[in-house]
Amino acid sequence: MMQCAEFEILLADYLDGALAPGERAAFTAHMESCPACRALAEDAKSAVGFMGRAADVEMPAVVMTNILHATNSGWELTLHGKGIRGWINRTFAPVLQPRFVLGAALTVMSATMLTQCAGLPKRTLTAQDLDPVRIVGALENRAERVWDRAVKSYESMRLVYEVKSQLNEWSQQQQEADDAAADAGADSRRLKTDQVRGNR
Amino acid sequence: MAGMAAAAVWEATPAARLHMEGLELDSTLVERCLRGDSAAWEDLVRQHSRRVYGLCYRFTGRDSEAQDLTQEVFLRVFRSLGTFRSAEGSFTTWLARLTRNLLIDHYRRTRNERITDSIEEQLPRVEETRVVARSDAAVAGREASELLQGALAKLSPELRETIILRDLQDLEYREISQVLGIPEGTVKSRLNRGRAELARLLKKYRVAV
Repeated sequence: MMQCAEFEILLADYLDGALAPGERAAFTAHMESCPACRALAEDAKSAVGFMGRAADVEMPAVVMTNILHATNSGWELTLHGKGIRGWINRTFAPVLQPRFVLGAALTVMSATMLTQCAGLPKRTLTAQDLDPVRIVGALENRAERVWDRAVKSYESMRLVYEVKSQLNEWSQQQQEADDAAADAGADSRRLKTDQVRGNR
Repeated sequence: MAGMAAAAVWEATPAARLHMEGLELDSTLVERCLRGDSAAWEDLVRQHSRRVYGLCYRFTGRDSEAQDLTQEVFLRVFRSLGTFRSAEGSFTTWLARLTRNLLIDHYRRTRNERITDSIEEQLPRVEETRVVARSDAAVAGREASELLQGALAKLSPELRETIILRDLQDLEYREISQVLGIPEGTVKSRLNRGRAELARLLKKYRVAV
């Protein structure tokens, strides 16, 4: 004879129609003899039937759009493959883009130019070379040398201009003297020609 | 051994074959996702989002919360897809477990808000449904769905989640046992209690069930 506890265990399978014929007979016999178990079985059956009639929940289309939008930006980063290559891809994905590569190249170029200006040795760069005091000292030295060179260049330029302008002056005077001499020569030739015409 | 498995698949019922094909499709989609195929991810979301939303909506009873939770579930899936092992169970079970854990976290987090809300929101709904005695034929589709939602909200979370997973999401007892982390016997026992309670609530609303 089936007990109520046993009946409860088999109730779900009974509603699924999954009981073996022997079990089903014992189950039905208990249900007919026990009002409490019969009420439980009827309630459970009616609830299952009611839920079967209830319409499915409709998902608003915006949910799908939101999910795809939210995951789209992280797609390349999160699911970019496995292994070392995947790790490299995931780690360096933000910087492996043309604009960042160009930026990195320009930064290296600028750094090279700065180190050149600062007078840092290119080949034997050590921690000591990066000492701020040394860098400032080197920069100061460089700046002084550049200033001296500029002053020298200015002084030289002034001298050159002075000499040049003096030379120009002299050449101009020479030119004027030559022109005057040439004019005098032409006048005397013209006079001679007139005299020859007069004699004829 | 492989031959026996193949024979078993061949002899399986059409529903079982469809189920196995679905499992295979899911694991293929997951593998493609892990290889960086964004189209596979879209397919995966398209195929499973409705089920997840349904579970969230039936559990919380609110569209806005269900929408937020569904989105949160898929963000978690997105981040932890690499931890899915097809050998340990189906993707549907894995997804249902993830959703259920999130729902329980959400339930605990919003417990205080619900206590005040339940007085303001749930009573009018019950009163409204009490006004007219309904026949079996009249209570159909959408209306039945709304009544069911009101009744589900009255169940304890343990009974509610079991009912939703079995009667509204059609999961197997074994799968529900994996999702909830309880023995199959407990799943069945909770189902009996939940269904009986639901029938009692619906009778209280004077709905012919």
